[in-house]
Order: sequence, then C-alpha cells, then structure tokens
Amino acid sequence: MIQDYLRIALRNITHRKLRSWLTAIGIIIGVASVVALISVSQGMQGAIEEQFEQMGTDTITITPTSFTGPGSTAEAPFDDGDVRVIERIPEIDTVLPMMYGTAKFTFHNQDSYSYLMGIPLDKESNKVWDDIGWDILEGRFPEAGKKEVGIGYLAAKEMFDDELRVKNTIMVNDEKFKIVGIAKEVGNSQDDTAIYMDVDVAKDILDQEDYNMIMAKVKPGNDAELVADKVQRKLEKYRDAEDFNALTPSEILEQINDILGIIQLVLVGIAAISLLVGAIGIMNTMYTSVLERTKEIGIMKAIGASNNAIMMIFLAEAGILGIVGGIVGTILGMIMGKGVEIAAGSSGFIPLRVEISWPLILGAISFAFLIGALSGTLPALGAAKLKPVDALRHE
Amino acid sequence: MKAIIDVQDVWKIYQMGSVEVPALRGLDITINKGDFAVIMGPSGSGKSTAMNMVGALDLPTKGIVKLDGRNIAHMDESTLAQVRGEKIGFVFQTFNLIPTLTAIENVTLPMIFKRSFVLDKVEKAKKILRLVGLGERMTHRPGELSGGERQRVAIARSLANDPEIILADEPTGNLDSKMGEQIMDLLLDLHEKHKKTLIIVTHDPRFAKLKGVDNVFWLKDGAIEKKRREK
Repeated sequence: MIQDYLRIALRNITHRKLRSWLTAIGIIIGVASVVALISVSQGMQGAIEEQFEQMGTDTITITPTSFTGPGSTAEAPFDDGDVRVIERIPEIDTVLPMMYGTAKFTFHNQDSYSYLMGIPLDKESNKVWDDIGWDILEGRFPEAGKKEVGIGYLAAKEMFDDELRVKNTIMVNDEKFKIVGIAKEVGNSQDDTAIYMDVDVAKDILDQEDYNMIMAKVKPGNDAELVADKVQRKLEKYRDAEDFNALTPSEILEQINDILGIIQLVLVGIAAISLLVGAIGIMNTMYTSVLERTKEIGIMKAIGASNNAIMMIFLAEAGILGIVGGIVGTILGMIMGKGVEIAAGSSGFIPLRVEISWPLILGAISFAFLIGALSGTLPALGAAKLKPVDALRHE
Repeated sequence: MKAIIDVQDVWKIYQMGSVEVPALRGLDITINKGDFAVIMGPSGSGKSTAMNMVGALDLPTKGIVKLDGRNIAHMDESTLAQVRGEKIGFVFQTFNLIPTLTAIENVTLPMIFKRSFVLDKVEKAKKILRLVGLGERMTHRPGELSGGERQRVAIARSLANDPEIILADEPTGNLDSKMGEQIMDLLLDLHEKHKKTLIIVTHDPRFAKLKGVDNVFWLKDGAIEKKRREK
C-alpha cells in the first residue's frame, strides 16, 4: 500500500520535473548551508582540540584577563615577583615566563616585521618544550643568555626573499643574532611564523621588563585543575587583583568551545531561515498541486480512495521533495565544507579537517524529510477533505 | 429479486447563494441485482445528481438511498469510499483516467485503495485488460491511447475489485459511433456473461431500445416521469 502511494507520488513529481526541482532547490540551499556550517565548525573544533592536546594536560597557562594577543596594546602584566610566587607552590615543577611583541628583522638588507617570542631556554625549560612536542627540524635550540634565535618553520621560508638557514646572521631590532635552529611545523600560523630567543635577551630587544604570559608545569601525580586553582588563589592574594586566569588546557578548551558553540548556533540559525523559506516553497507547490489535481482526487475518491489514502499520496509527494532536497543538499554541503577545508589549508590558517559524520548526514536528510512532510500536511488535508462530487465536477 | 439499489423519495437541494435549487424532487429508483437499467433524461433533468445518488458519490438532502440493503446516510466518509470502491465500478464519459499512470497502474488503482490486501495486483490488472480487449499497449499512458482504448482502460479499472454494479455515465458520449458500438458491446457482454448489474446514465434515447434492457427510467425535473419494466 505505502509503496503504491509512493509510486503514485513519484509519478506526479517526475511528471512536472522543472517545478519539482525548483521546489527541491529551496530545501537544497537550506540543507547545504546548514550542513556546510556545521561540518566546518566541527572541523574547526577538532583542529583546536588537536592543538591543545599537543600542550599536554599538566601545563597551566596564566594569562591576563584582557586580550593580549599579538598586536594588542595591553600592558604585559606579570613581573618576576609573580614568577617567584608561582615557583614557591610545591606542586609546581617548572615555571616558564614568556614575552612577545613585534620586532623588526633585517636579512640581506631586507626589512620585515614579525612576531618575536622570548621564552626561557634553560635545561629545565627545554624539557618542557620537548614534552609538548615542540621540536627543532634543523640545528638546535638557542641557548640562554646568548644572541641566538630559532626560526619558525614558515618564517624561515616566507619572511624574506631568501630562505633563512641555520648559521645565517639576522638583525633583530638592529642587533646581530645568529640563527641556530629552524623549528618543525607546529600547524598554526602564529607559532610557525614566530622567531624565538631567550626571554632575558628578549627583554633588551623588546625593551620590556614584564611577561605577557606564564606557563607552569605541574609535578607528576598532581591534579592539574586543583593546582591551577591554587595558583589562581596564591597569585590573586599576592597581586591583590583578579586580572588574570590560571587555566589548564582542558579548561581553556572548554571556554573556546563555549564561544564556538554560540557562534555555531547563530550561524546555523541564520542558515535555518533559508530552510524555512524552502519549506514554504514546498507548501506552495503542494497547494498548487492539489488545485491542479482536484479532478484526479475526485476520480480516486469515486473509485474507493479514502481520505487517508489521498492524504498519504500528497504527504508522500511533499516528503519525497523534502528528502531529495535533503540528500542533494547534504552532498552539496559536504562539498562546500571540503572547499573551506582546502581554502583554509592553503592559506596557512589552522588546518581543519572537515569530516563526513554520519549523524550529521542522517540528521540532515531526515530533518529535510520532516520539513517536507510537515509543509505538505495542510495541503494534503485540504485534498483529503474534498468531496468526491465537487472534485469530479472540477475541470 | 433482491434490490441492489433502492432510492426512495430522494430530494437533493443545492444552496446557490440565498436561493435553494432542488435538483431532485422525490426520486424513486429500484434496480435489482443483475439488471440492465437505463436512466435517461435531457440535461437539466437532474440526471447527474441522480447518478451521484445511485453511485453513492453524494448524500441526499432528504430520503433514503440503500446500496445492497445498507443506508448510505449511515456510513462515514471512509466507509462510503470503501463501499464505492468494492461494489461499484464507474465508467465516465470523459474516461477520467489518471494521466500520470500507465494503463496497468490505472487498473490497479482501485485494488490499492481497497482495505483488504490484493495479491498480485499487476497480474490481475493485465488479465482484466486482456478481457476488455486491450492486450497490448498496457504500459502506455492515457495520453498515448485512442479514445476507445482509454474507455477500455476505464472499463477495466471499473472491474478491478469485481464489483456487482457497473455504473456508466454516457460511456459512448466522447467516442465515434463505431467505437461507441464496440464499447457498448463490451459493457453488454460484461452484463450478460459476467452477470454484472449494468446501469447506464444517458441522454441518448437509443440506449432505451437496446436488447436486454430490463428497466428504463425517464427523468424530468428531478423526478421519474415514466418508467418501463421489461419481462
């Protein structure tokens, strides 16, 4: 029975191909944009999570509450006093105060501005860099106290017309430095385009005393989140201010995910509007269809079709339009997502992987079917309620 | 003889704006099982409304319509559709086939709508199509068939659920005289060989003179003016 209704519905759809496709396009656009947005933001989330996994779970990051990314004008807020407070906490292993800023680099008489990171490079610190998988591709790490720099993977290749190599000399804010190492590719453009040197040397070069952020490694066997809370408490007491956050990678990740979630909700909400328009399109087509086929409805009723049967035929028709729109839209959305992946990859942005997730595919298609069937309900009810005599008389 | 259709003092009044227009004024028609009946009348005589009553397509404003002993006023819409589908096979002047479906699919349609499951609908449809003389072109759509062929498909469709009654509304009205004769022969054949109750609604007086007609009802102004019963 059901398959018979489906066949009748399918015949009606294929009978007026153009109109059916136009109707389906409404749903296709809506579903494609929703699928593309969801898969891209899922890919983005995955990429960010991957970055944090590299950091390990036992590193606490202490950052000012105000935004202090590259290019920010906020003051570097931490000084050696803060570092000592953290060092005194017994659960803390190593404390790594860091500073960063923009500096002028000169190589072969060519100037370039880039991101300079001052990081501690003593023995203890180097162990931490090793742990988080930060590695040298060629050469070695710069040494503490020496005028040596390590170059990020992309910086070496792209900063100057000539590629930077180990043993080259480079001017940093007009002072001579020796390149001792090229870093392995990390995967995010910020780290890969930076240039690294010892934090104490960076103080002179950047002409600043304070640190932009502090990383602290927790001694093995301690709960990183509890230690982070302790750091927060002790440092708050010392500084007498709540202008910073001591967070573990998983806590930071949670915060980022919260923000991403809101962005995702807003974007998908906007895309959902086009789905609504698609649904209205289906409803419109179905009303037209009922009107055009009033006589057929009368015939079918005369030869024994119950109201339910008529209703089912029209619902099937709307549902098929929805499901076809859903399938084509999902495929299109996936292609769009892959396109974003390729574009993001080639622009050196965070490499995101847009994965084909079955729950998303099945969810999108069944949702489209539901939308189709729902928008078909009113027209189908109208068709079912027609009186056979009136419908038969209709030309 | 048992009456398969019993129409007693039926009135049908249409509301046209504020005016009430009676289309039937006390119609009485009784047709026995296995009869060949002709309901005849000029246009405006209430012939179409009478057919709607006899075919259980519409309910009377007043009076009783009994189909195989059951009052159709007591049935809900779904039951009425079911009874129509199983007891009556309709043949219309304009064929009224579904244009998007093939001949076979048109014939299976009443079986699809039947509440009980029909095994091998397509095979049955083919058998009926061969019976009505349309052994070929069964997979064609109505638009690809001639008028006579279309009417054969319509007759095959009317037979799909083995109904006791075939109700034909001007079955030859849209056909040339040669094709009309062939269709008439087919209908008479179904009546004689397959013992179907055949009811023809028409304005054409020639049908009243056909051999084998059991009842003729002449309609005028929504009521029976004259009736003739053979035998």
